[in-house]
Amino acid sequence: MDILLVDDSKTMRMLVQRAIRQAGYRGLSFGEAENGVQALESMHQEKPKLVLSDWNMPEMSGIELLQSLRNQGNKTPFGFITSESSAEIKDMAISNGASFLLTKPFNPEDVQAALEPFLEGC
Amino acid sequence: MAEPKPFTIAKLFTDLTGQNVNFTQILKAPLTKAAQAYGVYLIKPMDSIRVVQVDLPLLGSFGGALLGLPSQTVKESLAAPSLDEPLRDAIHEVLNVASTIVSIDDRAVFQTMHFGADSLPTGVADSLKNPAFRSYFTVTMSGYEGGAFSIFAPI
Repeated sequence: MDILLVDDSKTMRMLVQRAIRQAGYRGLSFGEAENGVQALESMHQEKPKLVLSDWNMPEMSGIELLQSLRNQGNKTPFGFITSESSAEIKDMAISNGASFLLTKPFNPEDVQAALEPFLEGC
Repeated sequence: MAEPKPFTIAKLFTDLTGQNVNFTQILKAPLTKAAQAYGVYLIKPMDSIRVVQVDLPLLGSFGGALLGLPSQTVKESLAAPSLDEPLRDAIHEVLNVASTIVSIDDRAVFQTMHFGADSLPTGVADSLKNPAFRSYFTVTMSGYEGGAFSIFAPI
């Protein structure tokens, strides 16, 4: 698995995959999780190159997932794709170890710019 | 409260759906006979409520375009006894993304989606009858059915 997509919306997980492919990354493999709890379980089995997560989700939010991973010493690159756009939320994301925060709606160019540093050669 | 501008809202939905969407602000409540859908948002840090009311055909258009469904397929799905899961999920996501224009000054967190005023929480339904703030729009969308879109801040 190259990228783990964490979002409670199946539609959004599909749209993110489509945008990533449209951004030119056609050979990547994806894992999916509906919330932070499922993502943690998935990451016990596999080690993705990148985690892309929504912020607001049932069971465990995106920021709680990020904090949990960093508390476990897991340094997997982590980005948010969310409708949250306030400076406060962006600061919280970055200070907890996120690499970027993309605001919905996004386009393939936004996705490419955000993912390029983590998917070089893919 | 800062009012969301029609252009800002139109750009959000144009970017989201990939279709040309236009919002026109109107002064009076739109006359509509369409079924209604609602999104309820929690405004932080005050923990106040804001509500978006949308003609279901319009919301279906947004969700359908997100999925790449043609307009006719959306209409057929909306006419079915129960909404199919992909379109329902896409509509839910549309209301989630709308949180960025529901509140300009503060953080809005999408809470719940409701179909029909009868399914709204009692307090929310009551306060919509005499809201502290209201903003009405008519919406057109290229290739899809348009409709009415309103934002309310209950007292």
